[in-house]
Amino acid sequence: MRTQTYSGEEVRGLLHDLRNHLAAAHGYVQVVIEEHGDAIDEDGRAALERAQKNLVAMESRLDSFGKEG
Amino acid sequence: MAKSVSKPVRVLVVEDNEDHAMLIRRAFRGERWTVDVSGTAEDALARVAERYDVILLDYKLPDMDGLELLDKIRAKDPSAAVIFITGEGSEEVAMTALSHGAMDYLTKRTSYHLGIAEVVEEALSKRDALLTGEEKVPTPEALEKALANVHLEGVLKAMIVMTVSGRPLAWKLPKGIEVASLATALSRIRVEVDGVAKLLKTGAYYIHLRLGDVGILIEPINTYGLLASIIDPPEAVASARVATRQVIDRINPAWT
Repeated sequence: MRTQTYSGEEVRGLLHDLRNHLAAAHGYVQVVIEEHGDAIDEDGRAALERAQKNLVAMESRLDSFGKEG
Repeated sequence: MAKSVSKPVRVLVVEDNEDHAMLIRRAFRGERWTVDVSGTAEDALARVAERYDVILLDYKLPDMDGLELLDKIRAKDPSAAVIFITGEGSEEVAMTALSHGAMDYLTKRTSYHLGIAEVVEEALSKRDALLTGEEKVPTPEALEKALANVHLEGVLKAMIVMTVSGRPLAWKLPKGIEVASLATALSRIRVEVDGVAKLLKTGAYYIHLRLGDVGILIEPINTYGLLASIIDPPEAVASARVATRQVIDRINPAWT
């Protein structure tokens, strides 16, 4: 397997971009819940809420990674 | 009190990422707001002449550094309340933005856009107070309310932990609290406040306090931001003071 080394700056840039996408994805899920929640059944809303929890968990993991680095 | 009760508040969002621009725009729905979006610094500078009440400014733009754009916006329209938007881990940049005249800053995290309108309302109030020359001195009741959800001892202990390496910690004051009020509040809790004194020509205050065996110097960056560094025990003083001085020199060399 090929390995590649990334500089601190590259890692910080990657973390920044990932967090940007995470925040946007979380925001769009929130939009669906708030504006279309009435049209979604209970299972659907539960799935969206689980999606948000996963996004927040991913953000926490990135926070931890950022502190380890 | 907002600048205008009858006219909509004019908001300019300077953000090149379309998703975030859309999410931020959605935070300002209703008749109270009119919102425009600029995807570049060049476009934003052209629009500033249209006189916005609030400008939400992303740090990373394709054609200019956000701090440089902040300076240019402030030069063209000092009355606009500018709120800086940074990524996680860029708190030092945010503190620099405050010292360059930004009213507040936001960090892009999940759900950050949900609280934007409230931050903007607060910035408008601060801006209006500055424009009219009214200094808002909180009543004891208002101060207690603002501090109700702030565990000051916990915050101060966290500041000690985070500055133990000698690196200064930049900290944004909680909403509704300014440095002088913080010093007053500290004197009411079980923290020994050694002194609140005029240090700077601007008339701002510093706070020297002691928690157990550790002495901390808290210096304001401006009315809404603080820089904290450990100055005691003695072996921490030299490195902490050098680090603090280096940061202050970068932010405002006129401070002594």
